[in-house]
Amino acid sequence: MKKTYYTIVYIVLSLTALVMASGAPVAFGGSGTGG
Amino acid sequence: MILLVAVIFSIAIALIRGGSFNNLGQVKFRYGWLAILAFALQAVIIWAPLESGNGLTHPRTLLLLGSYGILVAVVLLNRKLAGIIIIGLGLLLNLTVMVANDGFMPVDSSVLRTAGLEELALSDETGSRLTSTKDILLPREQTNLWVLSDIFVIPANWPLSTIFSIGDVFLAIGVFVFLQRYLSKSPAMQNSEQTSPVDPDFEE
Repeated sequence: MKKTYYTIVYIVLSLTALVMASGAPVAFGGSGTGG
Repeated sequence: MILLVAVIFSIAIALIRGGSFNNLGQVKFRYGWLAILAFALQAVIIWAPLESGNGLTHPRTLLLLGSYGILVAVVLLNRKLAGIIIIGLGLLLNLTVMVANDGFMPVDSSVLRTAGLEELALSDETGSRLTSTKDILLPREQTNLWVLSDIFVIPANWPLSTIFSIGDVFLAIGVFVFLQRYLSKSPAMQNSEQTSPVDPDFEE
């Protein structure tokens, strides 16, 4: 159960990092990383 | 940040459709830590301000493009997963226009004004960096592969006003496809309904 929880967090973080690092939108509200 | 909104929106839609995070735990996502590393590398590069793009051979530009190389590797290692090829296409479209314009994403000042984000530009000069972004200020007539640059605008008087590229649209579609596929019913449930072989994307 604990392993599954970490796997889910790992996949969500990896996917979010992949998409945000691949993108290049200008941040809204004058803040953020531009991802 | 608009892409983070796309991720959250995709998760919400999948959960409303009856999906569960438990199904995601069975997906074989390889070398995801490399994507996290690339993101961290970009955060350092982006938050360290520069007056201009400084050209393709500048160490910071090379590091930014190198982080995209890492991301290409992650896409190739996970290419069989649903939506990853679409994400890879978006990545390549953004990378192509950045390489064609000295390593940063070009944006025209008029587009920036429409989104109400002109205060992000460090100066009005051509090639000026935009604070905390991968963008540089470049007039449309001086932009190579203009159609792939940040040309789409959510206007200033709308929520989440921003500027984004066609590559970003592919990224949003890709993450939506991925999350709808892998947050939805588990392979066991799908097999009981369809009596099809076990999905190779999932761990048994």
